This record gives sequence, structure tokens and C-alpha cells, in this order.
Amino acid sequence: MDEVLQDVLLNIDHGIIILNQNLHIIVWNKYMQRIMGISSENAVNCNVYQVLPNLNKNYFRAAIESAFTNGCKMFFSDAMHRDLISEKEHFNLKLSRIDIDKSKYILFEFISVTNEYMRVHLLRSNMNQLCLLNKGLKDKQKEIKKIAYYDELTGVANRTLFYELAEKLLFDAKRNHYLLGLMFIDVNQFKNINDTYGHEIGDILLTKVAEVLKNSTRNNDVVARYGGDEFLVLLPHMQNFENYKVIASKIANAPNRFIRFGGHEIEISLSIGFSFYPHNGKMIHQLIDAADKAMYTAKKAQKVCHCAFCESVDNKRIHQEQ
Amino acid sequence: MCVNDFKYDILNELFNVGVGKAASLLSEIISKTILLNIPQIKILNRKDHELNLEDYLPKVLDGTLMVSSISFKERLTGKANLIFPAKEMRTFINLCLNKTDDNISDDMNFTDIDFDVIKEIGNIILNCILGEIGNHLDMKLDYTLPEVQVFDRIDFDKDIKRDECKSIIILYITFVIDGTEIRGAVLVDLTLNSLNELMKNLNLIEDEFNG
Repeated sequence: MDEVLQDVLLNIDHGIIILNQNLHIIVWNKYMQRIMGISSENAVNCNVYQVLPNLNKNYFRAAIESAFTNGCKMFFSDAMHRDLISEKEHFNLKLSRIDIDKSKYILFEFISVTNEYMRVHLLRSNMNQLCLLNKGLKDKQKEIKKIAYYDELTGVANRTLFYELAEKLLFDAKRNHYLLGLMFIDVNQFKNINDTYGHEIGDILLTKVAEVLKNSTRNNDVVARYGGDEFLVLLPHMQNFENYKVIASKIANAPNRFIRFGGHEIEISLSIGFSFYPHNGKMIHQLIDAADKAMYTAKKAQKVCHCAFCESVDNKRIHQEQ
Repeated sequence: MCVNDFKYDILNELFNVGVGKAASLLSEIISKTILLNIPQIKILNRKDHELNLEDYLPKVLDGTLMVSSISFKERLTGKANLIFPAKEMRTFINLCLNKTDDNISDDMNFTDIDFDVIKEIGNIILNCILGEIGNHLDMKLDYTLPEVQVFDRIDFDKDIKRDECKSIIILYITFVIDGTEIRGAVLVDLTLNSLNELMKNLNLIEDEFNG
């Protein structure tokens, strides 16, 4: 039976070393011979630290001593003790005491975790690829959302996003009883500019208008391109009607209201109409209609920037202002 | 069981020395400075399942928990558990392996390699604590290598309640590794006989001290 057990120990698929109390190797199995390239003849009866110098560290020495004294079983992971016995392969080490008769021995078991490392490496690389793929998908989603909700030329909200936000802001205004303003903006002489200087300049002009509107309104305000040369701006939480004058003035005096090209300079000229919830309507289309009418009234005045205030708001009269 | 202040002090001191040794060993292995807060212990007796463990476990032990457990027998019978929240354990592992926290993708996904690291940390800390008790109270203990398990906090409470052991010694421990604080706990689950045995040996020390 002893021979059988010894044969098992020598041929088992783990690295097995047994030390006596003098720290001399008494068993060095075939697996150890293979991974270390040291024959049994050259290992047996040698001091363990001579054969495995990487083990000659304080904590290993303490662990071996503690195992001899207290029978402590110890575990050393390859992750925390790299290249313990091999640079190419990975091994965890288990250390335990064996008591035979009155003698004590220390059993070293080197268990290969090389395959685990390969699997983890593969898993990490797959996960990183998945992460990249996921990020790519999210970016695409953002792009699709942008295409669906934002005007390609000017980068401001398109009609779809405008209506979605308008419904929400109107609902909020109804619930919290606040004033919701709406601006209808039309570019004066846009057709003439297009015909005279070309569509490219027309496009630059529209982009500039969007920029002027964005810069002249608050962060929470919604600037949208309604179509062609028409823009809409939603102004939630307005404190009072008179505040529209501040916005109109900011637009009229925007420092970047000029476009210059080939010796030409065009000053952006806009007609703007205002309407307000609840005074000009309780539905978005009613507010758009009211602001549109006010904008036409302003356009008739033929000024650089006009604001027309709807009659129902301003004591039954149309108020125009530069 | 009534445990007087003196016995508490002795136990505290033994656990303190054990955790200190563990910190020093770990510090040498990972080549980093490790400081530790002196552990405070509590002894809880479970009578008729009245004990609500939740009242005693530190609040930091919430969500997913990594538990490294060693079973022991002979003079004392029971189980010692080292518990860290998964998030703190991730930081602990990264500090041990000199890894940074910047790779979010594998942040909370523990691999076999991570489990081996937890097993080694558990082995060092629990061995040092139990070793100290065994040596100073002259109580021979035979214990296993740690098993690592992942628990949800609620499942862990249930697991502890299911255990046949009737007494629990709780140690609140905090490691500070390179300035990063890692808070956890050690729960030593003991049978009532084992606690009695432990107290008997503490009595001997107390008697010796009092002359």
C-alpha cells in the first residue's frame, strides 16, 4: 500500500514537495521535475531554499515555521506571489503539516492556475471588446437621437423635439401656474439673400440666426427651427410680460449678428412675434398662431428687429417696438 | 453568559495582536504600508433566535459581501468569517495587486484570480487571529483553508442564523492601505461549549493576574 501511495504522490498532476523538520526535501514528484527542470536526484535531501530560492522570504519562512509549530494551513495565491517557481506558468501554493508518528513534515502543493489566467485574460479581452461595442452603440444611439431631434444645419431642436418639449413645458406651466412665452422668428429678406448670394450664404445666415437666438436666450429656453427661415423659441418660467423686451433687445443688439464674406457684410434682420400662455391660448398650436400673427405685424413695420405683442395681452392693442 | 470587562480586555488584546500580525505580514507581502484601527469586539449570544445580527454589523457591510471562512475544531468548534463589502474588497484586491481602479468594465466582476487573492487575505487574517487565541490560551485548533463565498447581506444574515453555533464574537476592523481605508468585520461563530471553554481559559488568565 505504501508503494502505491508513493507512486500516486510521484505521479499526481500537482507539484508535490515534502519537507522534513530540517527543511530538507524528501519528496520531489515528477510534476515538480517537469516544471522546474530539476531531477529528483538533484532536489531530494537538499534544503528547500537552495532548490527554490524564491521561497526564501520572511513570510514564507514564518509560514513554514507556523505550520510546523501550530499546524496552520497556508495558502499563497499566484496573483500575490508572481513567478514563485515559474515565469511561464502560474501556480497557487498550499502548505500544510503532516504528522506521522512523532515526526512532522510539511507538504507543499503547487496547483496550476495557468488555464484560469488564460480564461480570465480571454474574458477580460472579450469584456473590453463588449464595452467598446456598447460604447459604440451608445454613441450611435446618441447620433440617431440627434438626427431625429435636431436640425442638421443649425444644430438647434427640430419640430419633433420642439413639440415634445412644448407639451411638457405647457403641462408644467398649467400645473404650476406660470407664464410660458413663445417667440416666432422669421428672417427678413431671406429669399433675396438666397437669390443674390446663393444658398451657401443662406445656410450660413440660418446657422448664424440659430447662434444669435441661442446666445440671447437662457439655457432652459428651447430654440427650434420650425422650417425654412422660421424659428421658434419657448420661454418657460417668465416672470412677467415685459421681459420679452429684454430678449428682443438682446437679439437686436447681438454682437455676432453680422456675416461677412467677399467684401460683403449682411446684418441679420429678424421679425419676431411673441405670444403667452395662458393669455393667447391654452394649446401650443394656438400660441404658435398668435405669435405668427404678431410676427407678421412686426414684419410690416420693416425694421431690423421687431416684436409684436398680441392684443389680448396688451389691453386690446398691438404694440410694436424696435 | 456574563463577560466582565477584564475578559473583554484580554480578548480585545489577543485579537488586536492577531490583526496586527496579519497587517504586518500582509504589508510585507504587498510591499505597502498597512495601518489598522484597533478592533473593538462584541460577544453576542443567540437565544431562541432573538438576536438581530443587523443591529450589530457595521453599516458599511451592505449590499454584496465577500466572505472568507475558516472552520475550526478540537478545543474550540466553530467558524471564523472575514467579511468585506464587495466594493471595499475590490479596492483591497487592486491595492494588493498594484492595479488601478480605472478599468470600470471589470470593477465588480470577481474572477477566479480575485477569489484566490481573497482566499489568501482571509487565510492570513483569520490564521493570525485564531493562531493568537490558540497560542495564548493554550487551545489547540485544527482548521481548514478558507472558502470564499459571495453573499447578499440578507442571505448572509440568514446563513449565520442557520448555523448551529450559539455565540458570535464580532470584531470591527479597518485597514488603511496606502491611505485608503477598508472597513470590514470578522465574525467568529462558536458553539456554546466552545465559548464556555474559551471563558474557562480566560478565567485562568484572570486568576493568574489577580494572584
